Amino acid sequence: MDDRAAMPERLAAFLSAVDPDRGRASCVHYEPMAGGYSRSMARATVTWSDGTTTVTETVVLRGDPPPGQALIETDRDAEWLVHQALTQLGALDLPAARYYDATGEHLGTKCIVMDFCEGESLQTWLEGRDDLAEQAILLAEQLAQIHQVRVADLPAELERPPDPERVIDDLIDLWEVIDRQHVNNSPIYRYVNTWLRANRPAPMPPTLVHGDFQNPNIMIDGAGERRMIDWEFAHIGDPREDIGWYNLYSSVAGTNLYQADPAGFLARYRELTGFDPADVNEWTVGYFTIVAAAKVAYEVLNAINGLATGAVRSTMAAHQAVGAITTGNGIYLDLIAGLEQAEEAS
Amino acid sequence: MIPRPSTAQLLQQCRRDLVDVVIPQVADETTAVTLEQIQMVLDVCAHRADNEIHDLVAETAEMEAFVAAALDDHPEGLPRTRASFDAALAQRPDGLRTPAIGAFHDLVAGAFSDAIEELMGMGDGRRVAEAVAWMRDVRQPREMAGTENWAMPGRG
Repeated sequence: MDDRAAMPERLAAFLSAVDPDRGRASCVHYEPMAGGYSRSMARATVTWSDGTTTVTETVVLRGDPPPGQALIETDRDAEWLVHQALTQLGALDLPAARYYDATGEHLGTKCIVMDFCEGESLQTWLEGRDDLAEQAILLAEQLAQIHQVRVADLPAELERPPDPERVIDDLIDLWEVIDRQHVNNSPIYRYVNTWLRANRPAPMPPTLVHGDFQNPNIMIDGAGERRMIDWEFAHIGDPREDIGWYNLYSSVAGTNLYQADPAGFLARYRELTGFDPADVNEWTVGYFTIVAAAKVAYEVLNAINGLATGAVRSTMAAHQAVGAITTGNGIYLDLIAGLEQAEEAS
Repeated sequence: MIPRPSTAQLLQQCRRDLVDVVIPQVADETTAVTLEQIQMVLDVCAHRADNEIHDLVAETAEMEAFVAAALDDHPEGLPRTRASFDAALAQRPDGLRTPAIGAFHDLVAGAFSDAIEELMGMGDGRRVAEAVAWMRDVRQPREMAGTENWAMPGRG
């Protein structure tokens, strides 16, 4: 996907083959994009011509990096399944998933082609703003919209948790795997997974979970319209995973809208979803800030393990090893201390 | 060995050129992000070069002292900790080569982890609190030292 010379022709041939009703596609501009830490991305300007009319549009390509270079390994088939289904449902604001090279024979890697979102990410858009409490409410509304998608409307192939109790247990089990498989013995991971198991909250009915809900994955255009991107971690699980992961990611990378007004955020979120304050509150969000980190932490630590054993060659993994992991460790410890204090106080 | 300029100084000089000379000339977005990540790794490595041996040795000694004290408290009560601690002590290195002291640190950290789990299981809140305080107040600041300029370039 990084081959600027070959990709325009390959993309044009793929699009012409996969959507012949639109005529012949030509790729007039192609450039790799930064912005994702997991997938290879590129932006392309495509012209469709059926002999009488010509239409120009911009699309985004999202595929797998070369083997051994990915920071996070996820399944493109699974991402396409969810993204395409959500596009067809029309219940959420997101860039339409248009085409999929399911084998990689056309584009060199399994690759999703989707609409390009004009504008910028919420991460950069928020810089310098002083209305964060107001933005927290808008974020709560966007998240509630995702969690209100009817599970019955999602593809049957998308795995349903057989037992809501297992959703949290599976995440704790993943922390245990992290502890056992990490190339370094880390007392913090042992402490975290032992604590999580001893303090597990009640489960909630499963919902659609974005799985990587964070400011950089929300695009906002000039009119203020927001679109949710990067559905690679989407699954059916506990809705609090998304709030917890948002809280952790934003504590590491900056502009944490949840922390700008936790009470306001949760009140608006509960109002829209109808969830019970006993299930969705600052304590459970704190718990899920730790437990929901397991999925991404597992992938990142796998890459770091690979770097240590020589199986992975990724500067991104080196970069994560020296900053993200250590920052996350401090957050887990501080959160547990805070949650224990809150429990004692109550 | 030629001690000056130190490894940290050599790394910082390379990083400065990367930041001041190379990155501003790079037009390709993805390459620029990778170079930003490299300069941040160099920054942390420079700090690490100055402190790695000291921190590994100090941390190992601190964990060793904690595990020994916990085993003294519970002579019969921490079977997995005792086994992993004995196995660790049998591998004590006799030099300061980083791979050897790193491997020993890892074994003692394994015993420390076992101690935390077994102490939590038996409800020894005092020792658990001591271990957690050490992780938060001693180990964590060491891990974070040198990461002041670390960020997530390209995100957003």
